[in-house]
Amino acid sequence: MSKFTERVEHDLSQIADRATPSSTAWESIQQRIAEQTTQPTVEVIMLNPDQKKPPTVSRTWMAVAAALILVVGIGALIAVLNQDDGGEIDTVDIPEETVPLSLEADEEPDVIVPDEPDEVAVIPDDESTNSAAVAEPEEPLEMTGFAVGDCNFGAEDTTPDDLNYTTTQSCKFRENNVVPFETIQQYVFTRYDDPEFHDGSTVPFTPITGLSDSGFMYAGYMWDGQPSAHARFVGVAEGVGPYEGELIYVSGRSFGDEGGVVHMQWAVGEELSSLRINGTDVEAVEVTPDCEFTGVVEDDDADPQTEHYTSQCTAPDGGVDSFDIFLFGPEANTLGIGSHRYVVATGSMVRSGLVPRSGGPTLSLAIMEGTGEDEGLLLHQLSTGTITVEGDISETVVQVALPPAE
Amino acid sequence: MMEQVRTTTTPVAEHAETLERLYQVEYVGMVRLAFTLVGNNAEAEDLVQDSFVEVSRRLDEIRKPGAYLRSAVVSRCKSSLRRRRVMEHHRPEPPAGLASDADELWDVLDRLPEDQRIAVVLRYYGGYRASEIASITDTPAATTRSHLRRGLATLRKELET
Repeated sequence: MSKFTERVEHDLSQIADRATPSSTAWESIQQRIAEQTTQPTVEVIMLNPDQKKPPTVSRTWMAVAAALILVVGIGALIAVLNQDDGGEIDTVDIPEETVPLSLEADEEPDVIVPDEPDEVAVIPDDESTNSAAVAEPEEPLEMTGFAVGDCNFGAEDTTPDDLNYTTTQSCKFRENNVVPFETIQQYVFTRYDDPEFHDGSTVPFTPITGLSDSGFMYAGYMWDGQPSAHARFVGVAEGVGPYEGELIYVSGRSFGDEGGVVHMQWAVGEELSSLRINGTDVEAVEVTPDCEFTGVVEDDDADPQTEHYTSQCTAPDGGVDSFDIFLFGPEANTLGIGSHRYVVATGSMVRSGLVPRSGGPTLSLAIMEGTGEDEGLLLHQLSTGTITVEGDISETVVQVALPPAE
Repeated sequence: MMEQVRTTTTPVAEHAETLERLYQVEYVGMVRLAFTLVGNNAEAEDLVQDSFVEVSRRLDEIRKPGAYLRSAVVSRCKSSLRRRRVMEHHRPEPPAGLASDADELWDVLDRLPEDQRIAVVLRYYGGYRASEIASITDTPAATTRSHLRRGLATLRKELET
């Protein structure tokens, strides 16, 4: 605590000390309660002035009922038409669990109810991205400065173990007037998917090699292991000078029956001060967690090859007490990506994961999830100096270190 | 035959006990908190007592009367501050007997927007963490943190120059 905040505390305490609670307050409260409970109830009988005339209320209700029937009819008609339209129905990111929106003041919710989903644009579902070409979204994504490039998907390929598809995507940025994208003319990424992609497929982080004269970026998906949940596409600048190692691109995506839904976000700047979500500026929160590794947790829901490492972290004033990190056991030895998961911590959720970079330190990311206004906010990003895996997986030590100050 | 007597605690009696316990634990602290926000003892007491009446009325429905009370008090203080600002920008007098430093703080605090003021008071007087403040004020955590940062920045700027 700084001297200044100490002073604020001290002065506020002095102000509060000037309050002089009445010694008869309890009696006053009781009296108020009594007054409230003894309020007389008056039964009011409404007389119909003219029994012969049909009541106006009935007429009103009939009109309302007729209007309702009309609305329902039109709705049904639209639904039928939409079904006939190849099922191209806008999907939205619906939280898996909902709680009543009208929280009582006493109810300290276990989770903060997500706000209405942000406006999203529909992109082709993931199965279609596994195959052939991808059509442009119906509506251009609302983004300032950065637009998804014209993408052509390469041919599918099957990895030797027949477990994964490799899809190569070549994208060209439509606008290159925003740093650092002006230095990235195009990128190519290779993605590994479950050949029978299904909701909840857990896919290792996919490195992307972006090629350009002066820089490229690494990117990949961070997948949620839960069905119909989110995936994150993250891009980390590589070889782009001052943006080296920066998270420069994040998009969120959820997968439901109707296909993928994406909302785009991007970040530029050393302090991530211009992180944007759906084209709207949001405030990046800098949190420097003090992490303490607490062990490996068995998690039946996780990928069988995934070990769940719990890192208890303290984030002063960050609203998050702890977050968990998933690491794939086998990949952990080679700095592979960990999956990520929702973690409930003091009303906030964090999804976190590790992004390996070629020849460089691994980047650890934590992204707010299910927190309404904070949705998608990059809560924590830190380069890990070392991730050391020693001995048996159950005794793995994960060291998370802040990058050296420049 | 001796009639069997069964003693029970009626819900009304339970309510009264709960409320009285709540009063004993929270009343003084809530008045101080409200006073720090609205700067007027009578108004602070009135708002807190009002909140107790509301708690009493809804005791059947609420699980955590203490948390509910805090939210109710802060919400009433916020409404009061807002009303006050709307009504000809009337500013409360600094509470009498303040040391000059506290007086100065009060002056700056009073010029902060309600949300920032509430966040700062809850944090640095109430000792609540940002996530708790978010819960008390029913505000997203990031918004609360933003209120805190901005409020504190204004205080620092005004008080340190």
